[in-house]
Amino acid sequence: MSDTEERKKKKKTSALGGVFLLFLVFGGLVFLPTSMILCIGMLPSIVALLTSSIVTRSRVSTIAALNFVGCVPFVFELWSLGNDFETSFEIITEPLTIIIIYGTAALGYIFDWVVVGVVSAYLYQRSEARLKAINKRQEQLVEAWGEKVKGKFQTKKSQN
Amino acid sequence: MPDVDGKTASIGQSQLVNLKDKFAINPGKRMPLFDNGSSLAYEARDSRGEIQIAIICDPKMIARFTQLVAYGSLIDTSLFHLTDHGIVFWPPDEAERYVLIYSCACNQAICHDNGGISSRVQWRTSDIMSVFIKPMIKVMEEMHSHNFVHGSIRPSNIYFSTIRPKDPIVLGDCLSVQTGSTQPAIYEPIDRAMAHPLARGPGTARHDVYSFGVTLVMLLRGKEYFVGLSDEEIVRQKIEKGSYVTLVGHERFHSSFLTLLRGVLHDDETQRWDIEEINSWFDGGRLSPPQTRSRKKASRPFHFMGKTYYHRVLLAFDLHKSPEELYDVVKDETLGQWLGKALGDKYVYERYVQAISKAEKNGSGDKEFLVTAVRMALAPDFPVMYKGVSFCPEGIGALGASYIYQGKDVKKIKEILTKNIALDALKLDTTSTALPAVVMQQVKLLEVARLEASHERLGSGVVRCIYALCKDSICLSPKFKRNIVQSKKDIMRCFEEHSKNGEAIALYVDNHVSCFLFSVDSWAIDRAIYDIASDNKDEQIFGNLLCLANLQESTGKFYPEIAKVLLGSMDGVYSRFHNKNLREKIKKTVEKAAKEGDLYAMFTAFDNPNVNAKDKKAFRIVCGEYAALEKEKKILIKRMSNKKFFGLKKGRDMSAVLAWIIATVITCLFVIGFIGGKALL
Repeated sequence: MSDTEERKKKKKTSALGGVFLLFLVFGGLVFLPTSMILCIGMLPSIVALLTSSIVTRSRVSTIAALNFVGCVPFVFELWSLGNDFETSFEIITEPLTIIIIYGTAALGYIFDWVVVGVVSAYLYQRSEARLKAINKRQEQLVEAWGEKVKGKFQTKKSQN
Repeated sequence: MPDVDGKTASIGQSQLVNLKDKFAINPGKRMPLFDNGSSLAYEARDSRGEIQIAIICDPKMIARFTQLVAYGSLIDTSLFHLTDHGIVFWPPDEAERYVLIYSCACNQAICHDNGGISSRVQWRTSDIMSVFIKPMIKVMEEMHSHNFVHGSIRPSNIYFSTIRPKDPIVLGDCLSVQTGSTQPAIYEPIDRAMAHPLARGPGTARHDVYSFGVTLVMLLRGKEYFVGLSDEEIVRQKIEKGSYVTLVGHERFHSSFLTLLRGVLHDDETQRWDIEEINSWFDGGRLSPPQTRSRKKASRPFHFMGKTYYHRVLLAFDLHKSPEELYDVVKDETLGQWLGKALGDKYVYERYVQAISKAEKNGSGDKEFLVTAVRMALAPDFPVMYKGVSFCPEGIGALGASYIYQGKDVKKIKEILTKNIALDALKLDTTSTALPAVVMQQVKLLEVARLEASHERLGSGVVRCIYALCKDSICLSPKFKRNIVQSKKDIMRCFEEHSKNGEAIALYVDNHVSCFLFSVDSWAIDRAIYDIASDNKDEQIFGNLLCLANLQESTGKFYPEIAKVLLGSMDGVYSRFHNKNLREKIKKTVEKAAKEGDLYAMFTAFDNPNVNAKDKKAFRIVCGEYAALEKEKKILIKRMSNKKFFGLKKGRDMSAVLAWIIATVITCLFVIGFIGGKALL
């Protein structure tokens, strides 16, 4: 891809981001009570996003998902109680609310840690098995066709 | 030895050698009367007990195997009747020898010559006509109509019966030696007499006519005139005075004989009588004897080696005796001036100038080459003299073959061929009466030899040239020192025998065998030579197998002993195939064929083009697969080397996806709960 094309693509992405942010700000202003709960509730995710690198961006996504799940009951509670600013303030200042919301965010951390561990262990095992299979197949080939089948790899070995 | 006879049977004190179970040759009973040079005659008896003459061919004399068929087709009672021939194991030499069995009722040679005539039969002139000349004319007519040259016409090789002395004479053996090789110099024309006996070439009908003339002179002469004279002295006299004058001199022969002798002893081959003219003379035709052209005499003498010369040919005759002096007279241009001015022969002078320029091109310091070139220029019909070897161009092959057999160095032969000496001499000689087709063939062979002789690789070089130039030569490989190998069949027979005796290794085909095969049947060696000449031993063995398989195809026999030897050395040859299973399969096939002695089947097991192509293709694919696996392995090992971070990205992605699924499900439940609650209210 040429530099011009890359620059064009970046420009397009940042433009889309701008539009999304505009909608978010506009939506936030329209639904101000809900926005207040979400803004305070989603703080762990925002912190995680600000402190994460590009490598750990997936982890932020995990935390944000569970953090959001923690916010959802209180948003519905707000909507059922009139969806005004005062109720919103009451809900969010409740310590249990904060514990629950931030607890789900912590759960996100734990979830990420567990799933990553399980998946990487599984993948490692799978790679080990593949390595064994490759070695076995290579041995079979050498047995059936002789050392010559190694071609340049054999030469390198002998040179070493 | 399946084909070689020579089973010896003890009878009394002597051991009999059997030929084809038809003839019993007694090595203890010599018949020296019928010897032809070093090819000695022995008594043989056929199954009916009749005495035959067995001539044991001396390999160094290069028997004329290629002429056996032509000789057999001659129908004349004045020739030894060739009853049979073949190879036998000859106990006195403890080696194989080729034997020619002749039947002949004669018991006396017309003369015995030991350098001269010791005794001779007393015939009157009329007897000479009926007993000698008439049958000789007849037999020469028969031979020459079949393009056959006898080459051994001399009194000691012409026989008659003392019981019936008036019966026509019979010509003795001529096949056991090269033409003219056993002839004393006096019975050969000047040019051939000067050449090495084995390098006189196949000869022509007019050479036989000359020998007949000299023989007639010997019969007519009453005294031993030439006894004690060296060959060189006889030739010198012939050059100085001419053959007719030298041989006849002032003898008082019948005038009709003088006409005949003048015709048949003419030194110019083109002027010499042929058989038709002799026939006309015999029938009483009035033929005028050919006139001798007077030789050009120089106006002043030329001094060389303290002698004075007026004739170029006599000078040419002595040139080789002092190459240094020749070099000096060429350098100070005295010889050139003498040829150009005193002799005044512009053709000779032109040839001389060309010879000098050729000698200069060849290297001005090569005095021997200078002798050769100048001698060719002065006397183009003389045999070539190079470094002490005098030869007729057509005889160089036989001389080379004899040299090899005797273990002599063939370096000179190589030089003669590469320096184009033989070819130039052949082109310069305008007096030859050989058939144009034969000359053309010879020129072609020498042209090829010039290019070929300098090569050093196996299956080429001077050895190959010698076999090409001398079709009569047996295979002179050191492996066949005690064998006579003159055909493909013989090669296989000897190899089988050597293998049986444990004397053979798998590398059967050496330089001599391959060169010989190129001459006998190039098809058998053409495809194999590249493998045989390889530096890789396994390829050499495969080449040997291919060559021997081709030979087996043409002989139609099985050779289990050769197969056994080859099988023992073929472990490396199987590696031509990449697939081990295929290798095992082929090994089994080869072993099975080897048990039967079928070399061709052994070879074809290796030479299936489909199998070869499939194996190669599969090997290429497998090599590709191995390389791809190796690449994948390297990537995996690299990734797995950092276990802490292995699969981290994939794990986080998976975790994010799962978390969002969970979040979506829970949110949906809340939405459903919220909508449901509102509906109830």
